[in-house]
Amino acid sequence: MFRKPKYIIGLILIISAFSYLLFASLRESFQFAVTPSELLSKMDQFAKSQVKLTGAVVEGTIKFSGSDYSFKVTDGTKELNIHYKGVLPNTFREGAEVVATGRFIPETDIFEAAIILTKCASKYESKEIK
Amino acid sequence: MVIGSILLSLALALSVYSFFTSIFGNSSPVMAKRGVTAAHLTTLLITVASLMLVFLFVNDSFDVKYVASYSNLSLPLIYKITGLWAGLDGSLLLWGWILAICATLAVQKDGTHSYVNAVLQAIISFFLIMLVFDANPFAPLGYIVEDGDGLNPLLRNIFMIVHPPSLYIGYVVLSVPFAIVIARLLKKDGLPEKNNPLYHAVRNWTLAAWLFLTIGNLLGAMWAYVELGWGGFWAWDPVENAGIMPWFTATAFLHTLIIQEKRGLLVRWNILLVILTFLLTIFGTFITRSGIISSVHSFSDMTIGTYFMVFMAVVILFSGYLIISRAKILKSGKSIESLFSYEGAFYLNNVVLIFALVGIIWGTMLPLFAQIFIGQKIEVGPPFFNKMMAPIGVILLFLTGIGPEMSWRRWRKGLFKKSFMIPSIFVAAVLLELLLAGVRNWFSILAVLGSTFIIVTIVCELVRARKFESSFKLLVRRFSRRYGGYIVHLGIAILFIGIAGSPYKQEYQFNLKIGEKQEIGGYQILLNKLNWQESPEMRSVQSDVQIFNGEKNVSILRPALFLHKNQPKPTAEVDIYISPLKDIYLTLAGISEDEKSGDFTMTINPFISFVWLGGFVMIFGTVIALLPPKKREKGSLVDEEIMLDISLDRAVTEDFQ
Repeated sequence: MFRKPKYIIGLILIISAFSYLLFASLRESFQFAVTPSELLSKMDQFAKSQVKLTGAVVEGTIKFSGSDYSFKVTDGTKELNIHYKGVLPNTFREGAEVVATGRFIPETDIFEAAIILTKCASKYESKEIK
Repeated sequence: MVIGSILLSLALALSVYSFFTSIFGNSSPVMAKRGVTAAHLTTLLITVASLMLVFLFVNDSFDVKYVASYSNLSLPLIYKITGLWAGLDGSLLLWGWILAICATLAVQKDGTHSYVNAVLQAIISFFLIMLVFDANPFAPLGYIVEDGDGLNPLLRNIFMIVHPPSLYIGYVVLSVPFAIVIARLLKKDGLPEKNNPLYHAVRNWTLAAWLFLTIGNLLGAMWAYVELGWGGFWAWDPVENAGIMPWFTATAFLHTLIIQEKRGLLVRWNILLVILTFLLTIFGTFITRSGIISSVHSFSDMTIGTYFMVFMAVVILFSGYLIISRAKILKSGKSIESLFSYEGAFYLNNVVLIFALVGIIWGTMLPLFAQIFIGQKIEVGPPFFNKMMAPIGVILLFLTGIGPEMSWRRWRKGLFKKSFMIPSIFVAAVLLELLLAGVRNWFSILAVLGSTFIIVTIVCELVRARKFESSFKLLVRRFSRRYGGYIVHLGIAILFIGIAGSPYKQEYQFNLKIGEKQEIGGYQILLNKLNWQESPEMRSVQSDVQIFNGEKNVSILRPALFLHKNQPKPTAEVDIYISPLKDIYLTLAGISEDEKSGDFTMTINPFISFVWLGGFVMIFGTVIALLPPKKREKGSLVDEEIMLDISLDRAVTEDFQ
């Protein structure tokens, strides 16, 4: 494309600089995405490190006082206690799929969530409106 | 509703017929004409089918499964109409409908080759096949219900009316430039000559798509900002990434097209970009619709995913073959001579944009790759994207300021003094100001500097070009493509000032008793009272919070909390104090057991208004750039633009021969 090869060398330099950046940043910011069963079965790997936990909120387990919430999530086989303080999304409800970012503390058997996101409901759960 | 299914089947048959006649239309004008007529009829049928679905919604025809799933009797009329795109089946119908309208508009123009219609009909047929066989919005429910399921209250929002259709339009319109390019490749046409009307067509279709993608993404960002728990204005969710990917390649293409149009360079690269952009719209739909990557937007359907995967494979193989077999005849004799030239800067802008794209695809697809190769899902969150995109954004920002002011072919002596000296002085002054003000975040500093650089270069150029017209308005109108683009750049600069504020976002959590005043984040916050209301379904409490800055009363915010009787978790309604320099975002997170105090979360978002303002300026500039060029007595728009560059000492006549 270019007449002079030095531009190609320049481009390769730019691209490799970016690649380095890509991998460097990747090393610091990736997280494991796990289900409650995976977390509980590979405790030595996941305990106390930050993970993204996905599961459905178990019915009848939501308790709160002020903005302090505790509830359980399940993947159908195992359940896990979650504690969270702050504002929960409005789509958060019993049975909803949630993604909790945080750490599992084996001593208390509680997953301390820092961020909770719910999956955007593009479909309305019909039972609750009636 | 049986009629609806029949209409879709008929449309499919006609579209397939139009496809085949258009293929033969290359050698037979009669066949080409039949293809066009069939295309119009297909459009008519899909239009009737779409209107019928809207009618079924308005008419509360809950015997149709799709209507029963997304509407109910009490739903306001406007949300019944938006039911057309509330779910998968209807979205696909809307998609096919817009595409058919585009096809009709594209083929009714004289001189459009029948292959263009053939490609468009192939895509329309693909959508109709899905609609007829797997996602029929007219499918009957099979049993009788009194009322439908209704629409999620969160989606009953002004954004629901405009955000999805603008993104769809943006996606779909990109099929037209793709069809035009593929048609040329099929015909084995060589390099297009200067002032070929196709340049105009391809550019305008792409720019129109770009406009709608920008509107769609901007509105999505606003929606996510005002809605609680959707992660702020941009969270790098896979679906958001899907919406931005074709935007990046379309941006790249709109820039290098200028180089091709004026100097005949980068022809094959541009063809590649058009095809890649189209592929990304399909790929984006695939990741959002197949559920292969978990996203907070979950609308998954694996069958539809398979359709898209097969379609994507066909497009890749087919266009790959076309590019490779036509590579020789599309070889342009010329090459970029210097990186420090107009062409060089635009080339770099493309490299950076494509790099951004690769990074986004990498981050989006990583969970899938990790699952396949190491057997454990790995996700990169917003921190990864922010870290990766921050330097890319800054480089792009400076290139946005530098590129348009560069001279053609090579660096010309005196260019720095003419175009870059005043902007550099301003940048130095702003840098000093920022450092004195205590700003230390490198991204914020560089983003503000880059934006300053862009704004000052634009002002300088307008001042210098002003002598060629009697007023700024006439100047912009005369060179609407060029200065429309400059206005878009201005929007980008403003947008980045907004983004520069995000590292300074602050969040506070605190408990406030009634009548108590606390010092938080530089403000004095006073909870006046909590107003309770009782209804059969819920108890609701609205807080009355007064915010002071020293002695000055800033605002009263009333975030509320709804405690539902049939649901164990309250829902919240935020209240936002919006001001040009910072927003105060206040949420009532919970009420203490004695009901005398509340837990609040307060977020201070500096400069967020600039994000919206920048977005609107970008939209405005795109509209200007899309205006039909003023009638000229002699010479073409391209010739006049070249004359402008020569008058501004950025080129000589020989450069464009």
